[in-house]
Amino acid sequence: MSVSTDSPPASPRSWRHTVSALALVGILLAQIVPPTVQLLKPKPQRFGWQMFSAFNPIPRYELIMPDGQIVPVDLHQHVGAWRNEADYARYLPAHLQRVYPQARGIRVRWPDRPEVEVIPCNPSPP
Amino acid sequence: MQPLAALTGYCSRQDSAAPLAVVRAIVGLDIALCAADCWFIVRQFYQPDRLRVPFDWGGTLPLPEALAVPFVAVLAGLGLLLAVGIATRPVGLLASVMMFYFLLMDQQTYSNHLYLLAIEAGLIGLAWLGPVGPAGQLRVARWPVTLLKVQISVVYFFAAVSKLTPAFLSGSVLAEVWASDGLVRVPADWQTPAVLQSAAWATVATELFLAFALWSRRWRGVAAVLGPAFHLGTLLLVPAPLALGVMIFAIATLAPYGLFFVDDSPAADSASAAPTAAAAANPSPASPTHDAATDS
Repeated sequence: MSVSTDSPPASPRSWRHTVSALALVGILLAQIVPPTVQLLKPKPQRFGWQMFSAFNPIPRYELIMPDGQIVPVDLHQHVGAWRNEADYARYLPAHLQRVYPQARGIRVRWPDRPEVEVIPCNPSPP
Repeated sequence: MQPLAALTGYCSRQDSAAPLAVVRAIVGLDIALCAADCWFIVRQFYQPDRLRVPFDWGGTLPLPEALAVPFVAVLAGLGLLLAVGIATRPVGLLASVMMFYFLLMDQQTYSNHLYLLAIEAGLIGLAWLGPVGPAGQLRVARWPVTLLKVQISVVYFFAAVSKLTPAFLSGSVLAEVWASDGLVRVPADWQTPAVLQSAAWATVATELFLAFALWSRRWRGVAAVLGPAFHLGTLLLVPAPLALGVMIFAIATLAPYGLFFVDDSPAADSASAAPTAAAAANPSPASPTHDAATDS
């Protein structure tokens, strides 16, 4: 199935067409270069069209309270929108320290690692 | 002909607006749907004790809570205006800018469907010329339409290449996807390593095929059947919370398919240029002065 299209008679080259040509090249590069660069990084990356290419495991966080009690953290209380590409592990510990200033530490359990990471906190005085 | 002259010559080409008008209507409605998705994010985003996740450059873009809902409402309105074809050029470009802004607010507001729609709205806005010439026919510039088609291939190509990893091809990623409740649940008995690996390879092969087949006169018919089937399969199998985003993405990806069926080869151009020139020189009330598009 084909639908024929048409073009007007050849028009003289103008500055407008030159700008369009530059825009075409610029947009084409913007379409191709970012996803190519993102291919070189761990997956998935934003701006790379890497849908469902990988699943990053979500760690479990637990608060170590001043009395030694361990309190699991419900991440849905702290994360607005889950994105597989987002670097939550980098920002969540500091965020949890801000929200729970009384915590003595944060335990991080990764589902794919046997060891338990402990991040010490400085509990603020009551 | 020198490359720059050839390029500027190509950028002077125009086509009937009718095929892009269909894409514009679908993309506009999809933007309105995407605005609903953004609203769900916004609703969560401003709750107390919620984390902002800056981009790698260390920043987030500000959007005061009081403006968040109006922002999303305006985006939905722009989508509907685009769908019905009112002021397509400014509406498309503004919707694109707003979607890029939302996309870059922080790491959590990014989504592939929002990114794709932002690009499509911008290209539709750039392409739309409105009534042109004495006959007042609705026209579009060809080069943004070509870029719109390129974008669809880029999406499929990089989606396929990014999956060429041992982890994906082992089937472990699909096992994660299928483990959650989707609209359709793959029975656990079927989720054997052989099935998962075959499905992983088939996914990559399908995406690679679609990236190139849409440009092929011989294969685009097959692609036009396989593409929607592939997106429907994905929609049915993804975890339920992801279904809305996957549906918006599928609509945005499938909307420009029809553009691949428009014959813009030099032969078609030369065959139809003469009647067009004659019609422009001698407009008649009987001749159609407006396409299916409704843009002003």
